[in-house]
Amino acid sequence: MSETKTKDAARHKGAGEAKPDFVFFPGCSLHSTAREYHDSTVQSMAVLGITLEELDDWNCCGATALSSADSLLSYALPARNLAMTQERGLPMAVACNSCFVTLNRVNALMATDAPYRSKVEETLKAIGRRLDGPVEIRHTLHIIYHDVGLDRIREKVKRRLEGLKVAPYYGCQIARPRHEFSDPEFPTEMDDILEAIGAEVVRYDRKTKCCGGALMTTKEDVVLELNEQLLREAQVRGADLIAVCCPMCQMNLDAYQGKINSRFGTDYQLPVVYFTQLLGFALGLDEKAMGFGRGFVPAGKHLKKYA
Amino acid sequence: MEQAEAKTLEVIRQDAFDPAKFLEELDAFPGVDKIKNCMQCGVCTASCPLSHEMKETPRKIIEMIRAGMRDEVLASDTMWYCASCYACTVRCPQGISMAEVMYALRTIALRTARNLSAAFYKTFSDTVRRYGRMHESDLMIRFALRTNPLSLLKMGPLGLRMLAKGKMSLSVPTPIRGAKEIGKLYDKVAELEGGA
Repeated sequence: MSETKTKDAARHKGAGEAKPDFVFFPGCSLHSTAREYHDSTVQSMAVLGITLEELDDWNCCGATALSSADSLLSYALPARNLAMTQERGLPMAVACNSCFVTLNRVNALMATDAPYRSKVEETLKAIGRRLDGPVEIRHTLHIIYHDVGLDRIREKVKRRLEGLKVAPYYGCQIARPRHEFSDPEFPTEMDDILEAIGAEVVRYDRKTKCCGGALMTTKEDVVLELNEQLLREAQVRGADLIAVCCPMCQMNLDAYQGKINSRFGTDYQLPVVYFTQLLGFALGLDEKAMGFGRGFVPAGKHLKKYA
Repeated sequence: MEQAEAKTLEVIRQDAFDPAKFLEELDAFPGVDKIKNCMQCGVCTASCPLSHEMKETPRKIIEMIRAGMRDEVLASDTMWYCASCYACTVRCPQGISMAEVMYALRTIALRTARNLSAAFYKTFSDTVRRYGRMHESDLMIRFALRTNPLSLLKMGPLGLRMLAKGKMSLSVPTPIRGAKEIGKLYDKVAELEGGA
């Protein structure tokens, strides 16, 4: 069945077209609040020679909210996406940290022979799908760092972001709990990519401290505090802006920055952009196409001199 | 004074709790089995960005679980503060996945809890069932109607700015083509969990 499907998809794409490198799982945020992350990821990876094909008819991974509501469902829902990826016969690329951790959680279960695994398989059977063991799941940051590599990025740079001071903020769910990044608490992959495009990476000790994620909805007061601390360190280290790789982090730090300023009597004006926006811009892609205008705190003045 | 003391003593009476039963209930969740190895070092509490807000710290919750204090654990606010950042999980010297323990506690507590967090997670799940994907405006409006309709006014200014930035849409969400599959998944899960 999976072979037929793959052939159909290939026909559908037109003969002679090369097979894409990854099935891309965008997740809900990249289709709504974080469209600029979607566009800058797909476009800059294309420039770097990596083609992504969006997973057809994907569903919400459930994020941490579903893991909190229903255990079996929190495995079964993302498992449908993995099953469809396996049918397509390609590894999966994910850009959202929350989707990444959720999909990997299913993968970890599929690598075991726990009785719980057969329960998940039973739910898939009810919708006529199956999942044979884990699927290769890669974060787009990991792909850009390892599969493209820093040398190739340096070669392709059209605008070196010389003098731009960037705080690299990874968030928590990209390197934890165990995702093959250089370190679960102090990863360096994004730092290196930002340096490869000429930016100056400032020291940022809170690079994987939590932004509170979805708790902004249910525990706003304390989550505003967490984000104030993240902004404060970026400011103290002299950053012009913060680079992120997760839609939740971006939303909390950017959309709530005004609220943080009025709550804590601060005056932060720190743009919070996706690292792929900076990457794409450095690779020569149009500033508008990279969606810098979609942030609440404008980033434009820091980019003017490179345009 | 004497009476108060007697009351306290009664609360900690061993036979008031059934440790084995609560542990067994938790054991139905994958990834929480290692809590019996906890040596109460407190690294989880020290690593947690929000432990200072909790009535009971993560370390204490583990010990309460092992003492069989089911009602007390489920009435605690600890799990509702967990943001799933996995800081405790990667540092635990005994390999306990505290994040998974918190998911399990929330799932159990959600069956009876009537707080804001429970309402949020339930609304989230309902939205995914309806469309197969998340729709922020739909989620936030339903969440507000479920909890405090007046909060819609408070959310208004941010919502409007999100709309202006194209980060949110008020159009009626379209379900994915496989929405029926999603419905079936929910039903099958309910069937399996009901039968368990």
